[in-house]
Amino acid sequence: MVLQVGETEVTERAMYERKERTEDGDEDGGHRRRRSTIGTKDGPPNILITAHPSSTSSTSFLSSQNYNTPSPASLPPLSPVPPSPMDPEKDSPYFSSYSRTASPPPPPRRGSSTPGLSPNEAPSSTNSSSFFAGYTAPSRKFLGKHLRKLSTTLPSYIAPSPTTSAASSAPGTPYYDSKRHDSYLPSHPSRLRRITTHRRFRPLALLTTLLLAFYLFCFPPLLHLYRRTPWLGGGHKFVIILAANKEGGVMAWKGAKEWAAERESIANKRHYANKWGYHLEIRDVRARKRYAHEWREGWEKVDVLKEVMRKYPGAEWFWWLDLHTYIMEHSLSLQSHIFNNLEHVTYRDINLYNPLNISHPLTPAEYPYLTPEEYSAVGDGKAESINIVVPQDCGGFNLGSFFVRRSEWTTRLLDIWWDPVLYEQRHMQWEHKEQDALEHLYTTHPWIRPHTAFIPQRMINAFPPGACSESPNDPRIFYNKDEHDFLVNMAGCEWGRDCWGEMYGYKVLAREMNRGVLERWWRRWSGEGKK
Amino acid sequence: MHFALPNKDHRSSPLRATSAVSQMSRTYLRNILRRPVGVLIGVVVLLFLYLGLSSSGGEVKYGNPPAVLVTVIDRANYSEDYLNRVIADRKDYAKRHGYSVFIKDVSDYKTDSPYTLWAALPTLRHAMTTYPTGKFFWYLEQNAIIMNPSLSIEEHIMDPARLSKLAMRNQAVVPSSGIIKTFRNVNTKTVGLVMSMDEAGIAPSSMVIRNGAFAKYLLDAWYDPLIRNYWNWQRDKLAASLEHLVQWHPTILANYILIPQRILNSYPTTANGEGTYQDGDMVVSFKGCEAKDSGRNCEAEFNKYWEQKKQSSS
Repeated sequence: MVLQVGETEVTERAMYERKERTEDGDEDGGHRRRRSTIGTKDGPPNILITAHPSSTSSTSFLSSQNYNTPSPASLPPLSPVPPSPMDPEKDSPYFSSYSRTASPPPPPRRGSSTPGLSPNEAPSSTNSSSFFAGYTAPSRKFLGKHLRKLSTTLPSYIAPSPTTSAASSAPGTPYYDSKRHDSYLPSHPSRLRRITTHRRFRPLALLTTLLLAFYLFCFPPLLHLYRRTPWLGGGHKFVIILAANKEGGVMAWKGAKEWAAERESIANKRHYANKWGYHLEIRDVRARKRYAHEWREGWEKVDVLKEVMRKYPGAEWFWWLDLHTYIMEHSLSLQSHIFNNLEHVTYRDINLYNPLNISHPLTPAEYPYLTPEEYSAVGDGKAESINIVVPQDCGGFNLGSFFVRRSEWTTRLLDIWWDPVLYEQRHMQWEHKEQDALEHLYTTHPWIRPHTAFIPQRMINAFPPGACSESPNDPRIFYNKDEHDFLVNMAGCEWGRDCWGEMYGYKVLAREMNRGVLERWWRRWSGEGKK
Repeated sequence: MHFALPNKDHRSSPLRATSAVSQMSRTYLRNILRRPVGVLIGVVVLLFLYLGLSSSGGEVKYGNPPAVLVTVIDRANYSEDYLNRVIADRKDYAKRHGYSVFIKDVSDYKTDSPYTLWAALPTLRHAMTTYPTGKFFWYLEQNAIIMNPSLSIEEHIMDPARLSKLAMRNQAVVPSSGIIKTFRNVNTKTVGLVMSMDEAGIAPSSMVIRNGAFAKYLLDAWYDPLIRNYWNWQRDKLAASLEHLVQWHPTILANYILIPQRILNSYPTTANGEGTYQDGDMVVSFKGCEAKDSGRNCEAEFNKYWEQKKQSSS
């Protein structure tokens, strides 16, 4: 009950101070009072448990009270997003805006007030003195309750008449200068107004308004509808599968950077999918007991693909994306980028880029029993026979970003992809699990080759510098800003590199490269963004 | 105005003669038919539908020949006379029904294991390449004889109605473990692999495969080098590896039908008598006669049935 005593003492002290302030017309004090009253009425009587009895400062009392109110707005401030310590890019203009030191935390949010409003803004609904039943201030009773409230509602933009301005020249309301606002009253209609209201131009004005309204309110949803309809834009024929929550913090603690990178990656895919009307399927690929055995690791990918294919029966192409990928060019649709001319964008003959040295095509000397299509280096060469589109990096197939098409063939591939007998014999060698398994199938099963196509890596899976350290100068592998590569895959960033730093860097870079005309003009004009 | 009951023109009223929807659609249809534009649009739509359907069906038409008989012979270990009789037996059967015969030697395909039965798989694949429009490919082991050549493959075994009668549904694929069972509903018109089961388990010594993408997938997966060289197959490798594939891969199990043994794979004797040859059965297979310790002689057994067949046909 000591606390109880302390509470009453502090309350009385605060009330006393407040009373003094209001009488002085102290604006700051008025503000604090408004904030402090939140929850006092509804909260339990002992909500001030942290208020020390010896506290004399009303500020500390107020803050402690606020932290104990159940209002969601009074939560402690969020910690700032950690900075990107990307040293090599520090000189580049894209990364310069982000300093190495952590920015100071934002001012804690208290109550629902916004700091920095004009003092004339009134408390919305609270009336301070009514909350303190035992307290009465005889001299301010009426004015404190009503007059102040009346005089301080929303700021009025109507120029006051000379009489009102004279009346309001009392201290406390010096905010409207009647002389300045006189020009608001137009002596004659403006030129624009005369034109738009002219009889001859009236239909034109109406039409313009209607068109503008259509563009603003009807065009975006109609465009979205068009883009996603399978037989128009075809967006719903594509599903983007994003493998989020990788390992779920089981193998390593998921800190602020990991959360931030995940959030950024999801937001990126979501924006892209929304823009073009694709389905986005975010799958949780945390470490599970089911896949924990050494033979089954990495097997989740195929299971997820099977499930998603079942979930979207109308979709045709499924795009697997690892978490640490970033779509750089949102203005490119998958259709225009790849699928409208699939047979030209992809290559079937692996000899064009063959880091694994797979012998291709199959020869009659080794396989004397195949069909001409299976002996051919390019299958039948038609886009319709492509069922899987895989990029290759310096180490072979890369399944961080690849496409599969719904078909009988794909069902069979997904079924045979993981076989316990194969895994039992190879799980020590197959370091990249499902990737190695696919390479094995591609190499030894002739039925797979005529339906597999490869895509140049930078089309869907460009690497940042740091990945593929075996061949650091290969122009086919690494992201090229000047050629506006579509996607960056920060492959392997979780092993010794900074995923969040890289992702943030590419985010800034993508924004920088895809500024609109107006924004670019504004930046040039205002001198912003210059060193 | 709100009334207690709907008036008789209201759509919920039971007094209305016809429903609003049918009335509307009738007038709508009548109007469409009256206008030439509507008719034209309808014709164009039908035309597109027809073109779309006909263009999607641009696949291979199987059925020429209706079936191909595939046998792998082992010239190194069997006498010339015996093998000639085996080939004559196959050719005689194929001639009766207009089938083709595809016979290869085990040495024609280099396999990296001494187990010769693996050669069946590339031979089947080779037969499909040689006869790309063949419909069924019947693999029959060398040590087997067709006792009733009047039975055809497409009527005796692969006819959908007959197959749905024969199919052993919900049958454990590996009888000893019995966890994975054959599906109750397999499409008998598209089924890819039909075989029987003897006392030891499934018996690939006589099996029918339907030509198509599934067959290539199955044969390639079965012939995978890691499958072939696996050290831990518990019995006859060809059968054990297929057992494994069928149990682990539903795309194979969904195209797989087990039928009673005597339909295409009788044995001279079996312990429980279910698979023992009776007069009128299609095939006698001397499975296991090649084993050194079995005390059996394949050629002698074959010759015995060869004479029996000759007598009955003459």
